[in-house]
Amino acid sequence: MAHLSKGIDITLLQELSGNSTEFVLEMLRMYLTQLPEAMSELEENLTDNNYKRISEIAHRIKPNFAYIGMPETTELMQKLERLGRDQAGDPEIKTIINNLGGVISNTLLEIHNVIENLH
Amino acid sequence: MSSFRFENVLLIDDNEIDNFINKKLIEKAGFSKTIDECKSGSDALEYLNSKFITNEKLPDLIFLDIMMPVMDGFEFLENYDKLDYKIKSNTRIIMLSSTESFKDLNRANSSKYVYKFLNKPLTEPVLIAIQ
Repeated sequence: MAHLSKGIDITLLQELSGNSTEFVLEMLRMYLTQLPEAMSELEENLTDNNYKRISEIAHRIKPNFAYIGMPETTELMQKLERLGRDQAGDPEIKTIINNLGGVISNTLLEIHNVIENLH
Repeated sequence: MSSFRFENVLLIDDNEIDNFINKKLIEKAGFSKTIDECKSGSDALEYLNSKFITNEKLPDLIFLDIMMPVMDGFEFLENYDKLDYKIKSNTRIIMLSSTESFKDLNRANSSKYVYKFLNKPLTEPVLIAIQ
């Protein structure tokens, strides 16, 4: 996906925090726990065919990707939110969730790198 | 005299990252002296009742998300309506959501308790523009 080559972008977080490194580090550490949790929740609900819950989780995490400069993933979550809500059982839901696993793994690696560089 | 715009702001949102960012923004803008957060509508109702019973300062302003587990923003508003009028008399509610649904927007705007509807993410200029 396009954003993977671009990497995450913490400019917005820096702007929001008035360039507080402490804030950015704390935020990024939250991502390290929140993203894997959200991914597990999505996978569990996909197994249970709970599309309403999938839509809710996609809605919840959608802005999180926007904060770290990943607009394509934000849009993907928007799509997942819509599909989960309006087209339960659509095979694209499974495809998106499977792809998201890879995106999140790469994002976590990038976050680890950024944290290391900020120290 | 306090330099803060508000004494107490309550964030009702299940997204910890949103809450964290919004708290930071509110602090940075000197928007509110204290900021509390609840992760669902039901937690928020408990919080409000508890503040009222213990005679503590109730929030002047609430930022309310729509989609939350246990009790969503609209269910919160239905239950908020049943609270003692003294709890509600000095509190304004701003709905803060990333919903794209016009239905949600219309529903929010038709609530007598909703002062304003804002899209996420909250930004400093938007915060400063809140009266």
